[in-house]
Amino acid sequence: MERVRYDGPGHVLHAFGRTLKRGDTEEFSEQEVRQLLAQPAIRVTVEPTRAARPLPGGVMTWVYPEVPAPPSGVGEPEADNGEGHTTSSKEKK
Amino acid sequence: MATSVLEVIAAPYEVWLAPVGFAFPDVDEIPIGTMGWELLGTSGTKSYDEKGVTVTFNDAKSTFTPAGSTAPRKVWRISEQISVGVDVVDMSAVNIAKALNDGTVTQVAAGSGTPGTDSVPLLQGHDVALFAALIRGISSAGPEFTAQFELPIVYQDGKPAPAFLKGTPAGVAFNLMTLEDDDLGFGQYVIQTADAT
Repeated sequence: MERVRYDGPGHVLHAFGRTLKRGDTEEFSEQEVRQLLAQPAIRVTVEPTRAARPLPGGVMTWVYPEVPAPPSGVGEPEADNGEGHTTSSKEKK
Repeated sequence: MATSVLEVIAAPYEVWLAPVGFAFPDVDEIPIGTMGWELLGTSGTKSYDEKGVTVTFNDAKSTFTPAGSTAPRKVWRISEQISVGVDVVDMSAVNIAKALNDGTVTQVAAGSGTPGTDSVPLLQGHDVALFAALIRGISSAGPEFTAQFELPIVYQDGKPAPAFLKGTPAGVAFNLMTLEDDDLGFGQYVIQTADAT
């Protein structure tokens, strides 16, 4: 379902069993919305129904699933162990 | 160097209507729907009859001619009103509704077994719809500038008589008549003379 606002040019719109005054919004099915948009004599604006939800901090980011670590000993990159120096799967001599 | 005679104007003006009380746009602003102004005629001046827009300053005066003279000695203005006449060649429901006392246009969306329609009531009733009117075109100070008549209260006094015959487009007559606004009177004529700095 999509929310549709009637923008005129008339004052009242009868569409698919519903009545809207100019400026009113109403929910219509996607097929009904397509039919309304296909009629040039009627001006409507489709309003988004699913608002984007920001993550904490107000920044929109994508969160990817965790990638499993490659087998140890083969081309494993050095990783920071959080204590200020790097470690390696191979012990340094 | 030849000088152009800027004060002579021969260009069509366009008419805009809004509910009474809406602010008039500045001369360098284009009236748009968000400001409450609607252009009369779907295509503006391209919807108007060749006669264009006529602004007439009507008034009636009374004079006093005493018994001792054959000439009047005093004059009073007893009534005045401004009229704006234009024939709009536009048979859309919106334009016809505007001419018939700003009637309500009802739209029915096309659906299964239902044709799409726009309808306009023809009975106007005893209350007369009022508008604010803006008539604007080029300024006498230069073709790049704008001039506009700002009429705070008008009513439609035209008698639409569209004739449906071959070879002649059907039109709707508008004759906008002013009413006095308590603060603004009949409004003003504003001529732009320079660009904003």
